Amino acid sequence: MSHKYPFFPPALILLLACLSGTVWYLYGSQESTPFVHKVRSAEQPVKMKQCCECHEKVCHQFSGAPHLRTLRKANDPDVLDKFVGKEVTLKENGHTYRFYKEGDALWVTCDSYPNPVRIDWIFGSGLHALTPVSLFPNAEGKSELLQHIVSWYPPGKLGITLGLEALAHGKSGIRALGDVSSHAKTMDCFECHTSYLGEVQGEIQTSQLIAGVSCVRCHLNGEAHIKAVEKGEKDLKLTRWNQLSPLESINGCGECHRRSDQLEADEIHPKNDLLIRFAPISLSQSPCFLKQDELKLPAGKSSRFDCTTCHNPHQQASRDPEHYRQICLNCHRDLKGHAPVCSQEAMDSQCLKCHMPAVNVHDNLSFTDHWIRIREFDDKRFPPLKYKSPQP
Amino acid sequence: MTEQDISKMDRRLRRYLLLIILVSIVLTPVSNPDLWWQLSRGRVVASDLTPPGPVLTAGTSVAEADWLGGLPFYLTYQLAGFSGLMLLKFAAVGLLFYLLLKRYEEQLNWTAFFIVVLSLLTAGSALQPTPRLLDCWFLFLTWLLTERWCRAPVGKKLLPILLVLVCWANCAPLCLLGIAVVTLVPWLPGTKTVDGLHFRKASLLVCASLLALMITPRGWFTPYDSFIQVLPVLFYQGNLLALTVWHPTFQNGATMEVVGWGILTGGTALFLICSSTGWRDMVALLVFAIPGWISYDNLAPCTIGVALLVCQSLRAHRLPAPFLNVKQLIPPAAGRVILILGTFLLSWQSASGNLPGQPQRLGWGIAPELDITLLNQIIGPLNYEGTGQCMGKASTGMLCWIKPDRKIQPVRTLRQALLQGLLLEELSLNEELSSGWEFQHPRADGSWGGWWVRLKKRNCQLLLIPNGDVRTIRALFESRWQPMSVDASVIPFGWSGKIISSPKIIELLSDKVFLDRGEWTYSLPAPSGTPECSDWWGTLTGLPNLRPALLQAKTFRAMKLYTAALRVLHPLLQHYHSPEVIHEFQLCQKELAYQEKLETGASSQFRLLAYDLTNREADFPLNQSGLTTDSNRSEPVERSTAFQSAIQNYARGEWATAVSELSAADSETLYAKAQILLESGDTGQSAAFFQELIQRFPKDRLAVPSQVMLDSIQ
Repeated sequence: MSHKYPFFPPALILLLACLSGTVWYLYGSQESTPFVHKVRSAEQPVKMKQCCECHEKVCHQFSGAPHLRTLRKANDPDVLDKFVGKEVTLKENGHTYRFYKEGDALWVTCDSYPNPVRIDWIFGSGLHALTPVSLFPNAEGKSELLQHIVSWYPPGKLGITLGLEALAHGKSGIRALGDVSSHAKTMDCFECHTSYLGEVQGEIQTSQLIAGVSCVRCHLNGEAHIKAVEKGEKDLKLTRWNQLSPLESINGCGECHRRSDQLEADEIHPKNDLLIRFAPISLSQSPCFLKQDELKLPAGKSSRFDCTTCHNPHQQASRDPEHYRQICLNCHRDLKGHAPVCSQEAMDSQCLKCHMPAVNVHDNLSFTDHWIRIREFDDKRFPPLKYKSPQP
Repeated sequence: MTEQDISKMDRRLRRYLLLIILVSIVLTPVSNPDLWWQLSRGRVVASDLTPPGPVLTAGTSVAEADWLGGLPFYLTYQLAGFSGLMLLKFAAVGLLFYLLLKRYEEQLNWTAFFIVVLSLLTAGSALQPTPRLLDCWFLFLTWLLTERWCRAPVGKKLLPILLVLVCWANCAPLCLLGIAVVTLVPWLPGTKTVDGLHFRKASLLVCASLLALMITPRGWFTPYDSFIQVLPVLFYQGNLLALTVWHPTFQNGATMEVVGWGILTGGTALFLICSSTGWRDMVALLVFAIPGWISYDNLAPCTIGVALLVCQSLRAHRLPAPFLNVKQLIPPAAGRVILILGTFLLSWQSASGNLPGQPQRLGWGIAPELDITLLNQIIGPLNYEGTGQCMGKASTGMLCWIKPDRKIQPVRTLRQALLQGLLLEELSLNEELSSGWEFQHPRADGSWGGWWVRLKKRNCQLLLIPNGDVRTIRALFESRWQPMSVDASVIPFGWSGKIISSPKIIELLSDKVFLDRGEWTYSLPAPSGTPECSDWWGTLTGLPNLRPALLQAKTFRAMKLYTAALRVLHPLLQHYHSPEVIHEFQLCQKELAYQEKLETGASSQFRLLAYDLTNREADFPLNQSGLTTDSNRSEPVERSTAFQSAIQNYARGEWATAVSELSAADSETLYAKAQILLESGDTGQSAAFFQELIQRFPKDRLAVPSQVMLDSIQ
């Protein structure tokens, strides 16, 4: 045929090359960008109700967990109940703030800001605090947030938002109302308070958003797990936290509650008050965590120590000191291979009182210091704090 | 005139025209970002006689095959500085294209000229004093020597081919194209071969060539390394490569290179089909066209390959009848006039930097973006130890050049990462720095993203970000990486809190306050350029190069030094009202208006009008930005004609006229006047108007930003 149609072979080769090139390009252009945060990927995550089909008991337990309520709409009846009609004058800056409901929305007025501002979301479960947040597009159309300077604290008090005390110097303008976060910081905030943000192209689309920390936020490969279950595979591909190393496990929590490698070495110091709010960092410095491998407990007992040793993430943390004392006693016994016992108090006394005291970080708020240690030794063990870090 | 005279005259005309085009395209300042990296590599080879890759970078232990690639340029630089590099560039490119023309013009006449000019336009911007120039030369030489061998396939003729290939493998990365040449050329219809050329001999040539390529420090991995660089798409995802120099060429848009490459490859394909040349020429075309289209890095040597192929095919096959008919439509004299005019027009556009995708203007020296003087002054004396994270090839090379003691090094270049399979690791770090992704979060693919921990693990002491990279500079604005300069070609960022960087960071804080609030005005760079970069086009026309000024304005805006950015833009608005200048001015107005909206609940009429006058429809509307407020409480404000006229003058850069037109004494007018005076550099007058506004309208919402401005001025 090539003698009859001599143009045929080159034309055919070119055609084949063009076709394969087009197929390659079209295939290639469908690949996802590799640097996307999981919570912002195009792929919709597994919904909690899918998990609940098999894990009914855990789901029931988890439905009451604060993690699931870390983000709520500001017009949630429970939220409105806590804010509407309340007024506060902050002693820190002297401004008066009044919350009210108009239409279906929660609004706040400040005597030094010209217009009332709509509140869109509430950060926090309410266990420690509820912080109002306004979400809006910036000049480029990308989402930014205003973290309001007034927060709600249990049992029902309004006060300055923890971490925004420095804004009290701002007598006017937006700083009287709160702190505006850049787009990147806004995304960081929402990524910790949601399980899925949707494929964000600058502006957060609240229609796609899955609020709160649900199953897939921690069990990262939920999609693969469901597929494996459906196919009846042996490997169920579920992220089991007890199979992670203790450091990986606390760093998993540290994704939102901060990790020790996010600080400089000289910032990790008992006198750095900031650490009290960031439990995984403190915990990672504790001898209980650092020396867990040195213990030789009898068979059946584990010296593994991470966040989940004391806290079941599927439910609200226990407020019973005895619960924690029992966990301490798992390792601290006057037995061979165990950790030493207390030299100052009887073993039936409360461990947390001395070794993990609650520290007031705010007029309305105290946190448990997770740096488990003998505080009397601090001066000997740590050189004086040279540098106090700004808030990371 | 006899036909011989005409032919002689034509040949002379072709050469003059080629010279004119060569001057306009090649005599532009050295602008390839790879320059400092290649000079650093050359310096290591000259001093240590060792492969430079592992010496210069902290994360590479494997020697590269093309270890000698930087040496010729380093030696030239040592001998004659940037003038030497310019001479080398002009001589090497000029000679290459002259030889190409000379080789085929006898048979192809003006067709050869057209192909050479097209190739020059396509490959011109890549032909800089870097190994890519060597790739082009080695491909040309391999082609010629292979043709020579085909005429007499004996050992004596084989040796030069192998020698060229050994040099190619040791000097430039795309040496695998040499194997394509020795494989294809003997079988092309246009190649004159002896009757006794057998498949066995040709196969032996290919095998010997392959072995020759392996005589490098990288040994038998050399062809594989080269293969990765020629066809990176087989090893990495397209969307990853899209962020690098290995992106598909067509992604550049309608630049001169893409258009030229499209005409060259498309025209060749059409010719091969119409001439029914058989399958071999088409396969040869695809061998060069595919790498050229799918990776921009391959464009220059592939252009030379296609140019040689099409010339060879044209020599072997006659142009099809339709082509010849079109040719006969134009009278020869008119054709020559059109060619001369076209050449002058093209050269004019090229010399003025107006060809799409080729912004360099006629000049001599080194492009301002590669000037290391200021960067050297800042980081040179600082005794860093660790690694530096460099965004882009230029900054990587600059760091290596400025710090010859190698106490601080880049971890790896993108080319090293490509070969080591670590492209994702490097690109993701840069991308996450640019997007402000600070802490660790899981990525969609299951890996962990965020730059904080990764930079700590690399013991990163220094970030080098190109001036004008608004996205990254803005992303780092709130981080602990803070700039140590505002005007170096590459902005160094140090870790605030580290004793080595803190003094420079603190020093710059007062400079930044002065830049944004102090009494100064910006003067455009001299049209004749700088000592490092003589701008010949500027000298001829009196028009300064605006690019550095625009980059500076962008950097100031990224650092939120809006007044400083507007001061830089002022002379540009006055004299060079280009779309880029207007867009940058508009972005400043938009961001300032947005800030006012946040601070006071509404933007000032001054900013809103200035923004409206320069707004583009595609941009996100300003009125949709900002907090959701109870807008019923804001009162609409009327804009007077005088006010509107003043702001129109302001947007045109006529700031003195704008101030004189703002005669009313309402708060909006006083505010506009004070702002324009501040941006003009008259801080004293500006402060007086802010003061007047606060005194006369203490309850006005503009009193708040006025007080803030007044406090910062004083």
